[in-house]
Amino acid sequence: MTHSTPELEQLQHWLSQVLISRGDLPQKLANAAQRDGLTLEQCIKSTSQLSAQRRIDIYAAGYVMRLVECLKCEFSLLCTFMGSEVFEVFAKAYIVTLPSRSFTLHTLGQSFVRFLTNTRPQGRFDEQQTTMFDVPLELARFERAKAEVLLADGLENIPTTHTAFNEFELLGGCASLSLIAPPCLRLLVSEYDLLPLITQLENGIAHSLPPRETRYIALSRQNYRLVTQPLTQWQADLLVHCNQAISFEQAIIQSAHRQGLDPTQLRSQLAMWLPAAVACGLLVVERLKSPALTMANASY
Amino acid sequence: MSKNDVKEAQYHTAASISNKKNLGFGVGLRSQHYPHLMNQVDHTAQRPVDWFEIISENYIDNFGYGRHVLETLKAHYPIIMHGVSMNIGSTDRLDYTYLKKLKALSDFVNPVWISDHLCWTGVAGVNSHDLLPMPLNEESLAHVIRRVNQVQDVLERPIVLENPSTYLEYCHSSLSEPDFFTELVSATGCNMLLDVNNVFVCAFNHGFDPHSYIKALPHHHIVQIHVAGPSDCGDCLIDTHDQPVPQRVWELYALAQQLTGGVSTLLEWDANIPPFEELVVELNKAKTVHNGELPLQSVLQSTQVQFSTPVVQEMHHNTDLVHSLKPVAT
Repeated sequence: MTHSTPELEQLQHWLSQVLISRGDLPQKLANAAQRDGLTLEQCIKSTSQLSAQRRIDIYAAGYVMRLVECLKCEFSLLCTFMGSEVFEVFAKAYIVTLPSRSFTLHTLGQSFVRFLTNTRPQGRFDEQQTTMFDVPLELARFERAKAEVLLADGLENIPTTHTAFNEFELLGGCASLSLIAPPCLRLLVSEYDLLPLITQLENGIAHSLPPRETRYIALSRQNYRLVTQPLTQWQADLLVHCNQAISFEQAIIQSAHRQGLDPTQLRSQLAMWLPAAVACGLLVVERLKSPALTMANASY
Repeated sequence: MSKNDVKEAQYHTAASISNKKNLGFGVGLRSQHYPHLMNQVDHTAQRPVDWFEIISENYIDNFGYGRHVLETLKAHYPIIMHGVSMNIGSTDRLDYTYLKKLKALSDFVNPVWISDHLCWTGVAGVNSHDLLPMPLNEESLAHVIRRVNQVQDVLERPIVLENPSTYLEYCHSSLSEPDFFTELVSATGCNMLLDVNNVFVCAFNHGFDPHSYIKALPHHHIVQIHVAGPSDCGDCLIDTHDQPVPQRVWELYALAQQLTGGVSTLLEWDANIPPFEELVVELNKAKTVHNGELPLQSVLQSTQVQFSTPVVQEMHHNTDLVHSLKPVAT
């Protein structure tokens, strides 16, 4: 039987459809035939050594398996927590549901958290079941943030400012400093005490389900090393609002206002915490060239 | 001098540099070896390899440790940029965002040349992250010639394209791959990266003579050779890059070096990656081939389901870098 020669565009759409559509190979071929009007026999040569079906299956199976392996690398803790078999079910479904549209594998996992959220079972569950459904999402969120921090613009090539901020300046209400969060900072709010679980998973030791407690976590980079830092609520709030440069005084006033805290108390807490926050890459401090904004002229 | 003249001069200069430059023996830069390389780079008088090849996409939009390693190594070694997402054969419009980022990386790395594959990776905006075979006929040849010219305009240099491993052939292919490459390099001035392992894999899977294939290529346009180890899956060979180079591939390597007059050699190893010292031992077997000795190595049989590894993910294998709960000074 002879067939007319398909155009390059039609052929590529057909093969792409075979690779990315759902189902086993016969279902994929049926989908592609219906959509693009081509059959396996029309397109792919068979030999006595390798049938056309076997040949195309090498590509169809390899497409999914290769990307599953990439997701396993990015979400290795989640894979350990779920078990490889369960993880693969979700990973395969993710790849089929949301095929990659990027030239880079760096973004392959960027919608995985959303996918897991959308596929989370809905209904009334007891506390343990709820935790079992929630923790994978929290781990995925953590690991995606980790991947982004490791690739983002860091502080390594920024010359140390030697911004000497002394405690008197910070406490005295005349600090002419601005605060800004670096591009490699990611902030997470977890409804579980996640960090002990992460330690257990990273060290390959027996893990237990974390208790339900709200936790604030910052991830950043210091000399190319990942830094994970538990935060208090006010620290998390302050960092969230430092995504654009803000003066030290304004940060205190606005954060105290949002948190319902006494600005004087927050000032002393921030003065104590700021050197450590800067040292581990959570904040960048620069000296303002313009006159200091003081408490008197700061605004909400 | 018109703009076109300048461009033509750039092409000819780059092409002649590429053709004459035998960089020696190199390996792919992989994150598993970052700690070793960074420890060695300032302390080793004798370089373990002559040059490195990077996977371009691993360093685009990557401003982490990988970029730092690359910046350090490029001061000591020639670097080649080898891509997997140019999608040169696709009927989608060229991805100019990608090409601009590739050009920006090229400006940062200053590579000796930039390569990718004669393939397509996706259509309708989807990226399969696989190197899908082209139908080899006049329509696809004209299409690829047009696209190579466009890419070379953006990158301001001739590109280098590799023959991929393939597991299927299209019913309506009418050209041999060597003929396709001959026409392509002639029409565009691009060069060729000959992967002799891919020739070995394709010859087994499609039943052609690999020696005849290599003899029919445009040898003057071959600037680099890849060697690697595939997996024997019984009814086919899969390009896994996960084991030593078999003797049959070394035979093809020897033939290719003889026909090209000697070009740059690169060992690819992308899964089950050995320590760097072992990788160098494998690479150095290429030098013994130049002396007429063929390493005795068979293709290892695979008991597991295999998939090819054309796409290499940048992973952070330095555990010091990725473990999340490093103590932090407070």
